[in-house]
Amino acid sequence: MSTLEAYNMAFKNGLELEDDVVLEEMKLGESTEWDSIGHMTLIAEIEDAFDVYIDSDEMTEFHSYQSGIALLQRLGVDIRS
Amino acid sequence: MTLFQTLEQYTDREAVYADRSYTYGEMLEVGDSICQEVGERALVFCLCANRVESLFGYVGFIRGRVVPVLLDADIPAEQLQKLMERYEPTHVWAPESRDDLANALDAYYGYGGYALFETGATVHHELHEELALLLTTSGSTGSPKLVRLTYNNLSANATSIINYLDIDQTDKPITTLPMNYSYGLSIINSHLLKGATIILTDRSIVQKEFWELCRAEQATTFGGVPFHYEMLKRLKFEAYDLPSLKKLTQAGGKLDPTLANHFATICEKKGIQFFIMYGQTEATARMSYLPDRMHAEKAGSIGIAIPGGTLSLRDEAGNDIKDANVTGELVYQGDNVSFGYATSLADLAKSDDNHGVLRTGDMAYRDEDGYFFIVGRMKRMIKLYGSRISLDEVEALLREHGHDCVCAGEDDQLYVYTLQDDVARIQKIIKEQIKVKGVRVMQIDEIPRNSFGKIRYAALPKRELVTT
Repeated sequence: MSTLEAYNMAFKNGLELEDDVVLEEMKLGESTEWDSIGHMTLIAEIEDAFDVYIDSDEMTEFHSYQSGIALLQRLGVDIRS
Repeated sequence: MTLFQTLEQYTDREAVYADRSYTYGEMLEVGDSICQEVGERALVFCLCANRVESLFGYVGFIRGRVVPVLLDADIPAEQLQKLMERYEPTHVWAPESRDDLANALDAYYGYGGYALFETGATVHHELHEELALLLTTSGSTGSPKLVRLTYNNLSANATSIINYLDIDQTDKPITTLPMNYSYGLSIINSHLLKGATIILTDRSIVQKEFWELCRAEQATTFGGVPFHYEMLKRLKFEAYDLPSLKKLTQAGGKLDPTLANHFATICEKKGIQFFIMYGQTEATARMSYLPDRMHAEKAGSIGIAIPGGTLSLRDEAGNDIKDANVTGELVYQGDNVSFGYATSLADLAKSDDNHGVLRTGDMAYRDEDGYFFIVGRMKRMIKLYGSRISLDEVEALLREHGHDCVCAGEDDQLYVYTLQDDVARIQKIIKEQIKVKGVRVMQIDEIPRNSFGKIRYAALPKRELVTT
């Protein structure tokens, strides 16, 4: 599985998404599935999938599909298909 | 006298900070005009988000003696429709962006992003003269069961909360809870009554914008259910520099003792007062509190009754338990105990069923010093992220959608068991109708039952059994 697939999988599992959801449009607090409860599950999924630790500041700055990719990049994970 | 009747004294003070600052004068003018549009005393629905529109509408309705049912602004259309058929409100104060309302109803009045939809209901509501407000009982199952709260209930609970939390004009709560949830509403009521400023935001504590707002507007207090405190721990709240913060409150379920201890220690270091509280919508909001600095000595306790209330314990025969350390049903007595429930329009005319006494359904004991400790629940209820959910109601909702299931669980964990191959469909219904997360739906071969045919809930699996 590529890192992109793993990233997408973390979103689908963490936020309990249907298959037809456009992941690239997901935004914290705006997409109904991505509320604070979903956020905590998503963070845990991503940490597990990539074996990283997301700290407090990073957690509050992670608010969109894209910003998560940028965050992982900073943590040394290159998201690619 | 109704709650909020005396808010004119604060006319020039700041009532709300949302996208900008709003004075009490502006809030009352807008609120009163929304209410005047409704006209005579009637039943309305007020769809709530942490926005000025829903807050002002609520304040106006209460002042003008129009009775609102407070609902979540995102309530699924199907659930809203059913509630409208059952209670026949004359108006719905809701976001104008709701297609289900905008396509079906006319609206002649609006404020901000909200519109006052007219339902065309011609029914004359027989409303008991003391009835002020209706809140839903349980989470988001769409149950039509409402709690009937009076003007006196609201005043009594707000006054008591002001008293034990020592709330004054300088307090500045920032919203973390929905205003249609009794705990969230009680924070609003108690602070408005003292002329304080409320920072209204729909942002959550996992968002940077929340903390920026908290800092910029110098929030002094917020409340949280256990889940909020789990998140705060994960967010390393102890490292946050928020000098304006003076008081934290917790309710909406039992806080894990380790977490309680963690926050008691942090708060003491930071000079923040920390209050653990207990309540139910049936008692307007709050019934007990654990005074700040008692956490170490009385860990795990819900504390003592709020000012003006009494807590007692009853045994199975209904007798008062006088001795310490004996478990019985927790009973609360006070002016904040609601009139009772409503499940139909006709119930809104009913008078007081409870007479100031509420059987909480929680099992508890009292220690030698008079502090209460909850040990369990009598009914099949769990708390999901602060909201009470009846397992029977979840089963009923699924049955309505054609799925025969058994539900079990504990706080923040709901398990749904099915004998059919319909797990995915059940998950979909739960997501769309109840909107809760972390629900585990499992297909099992057989429902474990005892010889009387009663379900043995404890024998249900917590995880999918992997067969190899």
